[in-house]
Amino acid sequence: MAKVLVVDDSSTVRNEVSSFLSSNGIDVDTAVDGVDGLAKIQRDPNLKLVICDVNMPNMDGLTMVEKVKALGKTIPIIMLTTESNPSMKQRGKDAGVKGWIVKPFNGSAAIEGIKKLIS
Amino acid sequence: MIENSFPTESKVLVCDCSLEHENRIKDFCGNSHLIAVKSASSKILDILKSYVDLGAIFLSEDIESIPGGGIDLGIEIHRIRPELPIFLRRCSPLTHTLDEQLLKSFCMIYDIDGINNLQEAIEQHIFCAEYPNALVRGIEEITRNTLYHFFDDVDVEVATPYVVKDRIIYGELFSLMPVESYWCKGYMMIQLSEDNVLALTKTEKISDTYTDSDNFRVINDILSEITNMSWGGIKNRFVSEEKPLSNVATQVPIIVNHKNKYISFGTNAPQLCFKYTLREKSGERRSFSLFHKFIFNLYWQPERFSENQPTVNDLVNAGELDFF
Repeated sequence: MAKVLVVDDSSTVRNEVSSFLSSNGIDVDTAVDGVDGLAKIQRDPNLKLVICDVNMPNMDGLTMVEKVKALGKTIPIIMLTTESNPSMKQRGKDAGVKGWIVKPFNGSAAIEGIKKLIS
Repeated sequence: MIENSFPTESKVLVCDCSLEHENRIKDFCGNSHLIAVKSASSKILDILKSYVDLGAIFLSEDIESIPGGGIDLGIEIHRIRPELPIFLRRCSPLTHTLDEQLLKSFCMIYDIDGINNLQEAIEQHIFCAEYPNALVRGIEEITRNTLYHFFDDVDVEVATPYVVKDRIIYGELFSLMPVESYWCKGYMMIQLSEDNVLALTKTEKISDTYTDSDNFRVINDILSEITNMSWGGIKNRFVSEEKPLSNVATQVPIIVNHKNKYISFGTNAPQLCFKYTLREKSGERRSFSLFHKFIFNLYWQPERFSENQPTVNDLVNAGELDFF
């Protein structure tokens, strides 16, 4: 089963996204910030996709993405965030982010894109 | 004066022994965007200790139930709530022979026939900040939509936004978020009581494995994400990355007194407040209220306010996956 990592400092968001993905037959792991997310990405070869917040303590999402890229990892990453400003999106693009979702998470609208990325 | 400012209201406590004068005060309040709330003199200090959201207090000198009448009551109110403007209706010429220090407890002393002279003082002490209409409407819309995302099968009512000079904290928990833009710098707060919050929260947002002892942490997290999404939405609409932030380096200590449920931002600036009441549409009709407050204590330049123009990229709706 494809596995997705959800990285967000909010347990509410982690629960919401995990619950939706699980109900769509997708295996899920979670991380609480960029440090935790980076560690899991390095450790777990079964991850097919990362859904990641931007504003998190300890290590923000875009920094995590840049570090993942620096490690040579090619796992697709989607940002799930309240941020929508163009320069932040550009930074994400430059770091190889595949897509951007402005909160609130709309599972029905995003699921086809998510399935495409993990297939 | 800025163009298109929102006509905010403010609640004022009225304690006057004369029914005739009370009615005239109420008429004046009605014409001045003030919502008059009557209070018996014996209850006023208790009311002030609880959460009431006030902009000012109107007292009359001739309150008999308190030794020393309205003057002593006003002095006591000023001692415990110095941020609240107090307007004293005089009943005798002796009022003006009061000690200068005591007179300082009152924002203005007036005669009922001269009540319209209070208008300038009202503007100066209560409605001393103007808020762009687009900002007020936008905050309300963004936060209301955020609440609908978190809470199930509820109606969300929003009271007319208002200003307060109160510094009382409502409820058991609140979030505090620094906010800054080209036109403002200050803080955003969301305050609420825990009761009924979890009962109304959408189940998919709460872990299956949580226990009752986790309740407060779950509620904390819900409030945190509501705050995040509300400010995120406001920032996306009203803070342009093309314009520099305020460049105001000033910071002042924020003081929280838990015993007295009081928060001070080191200023006399008013707070812009939005009260949301969420109520179940059916069943037990449980409800709770949430107070959303803004204080721009460090920088406030509403004439610089502007709304971001949506770009093509913004046509991707919130929640949808925008592929790069």
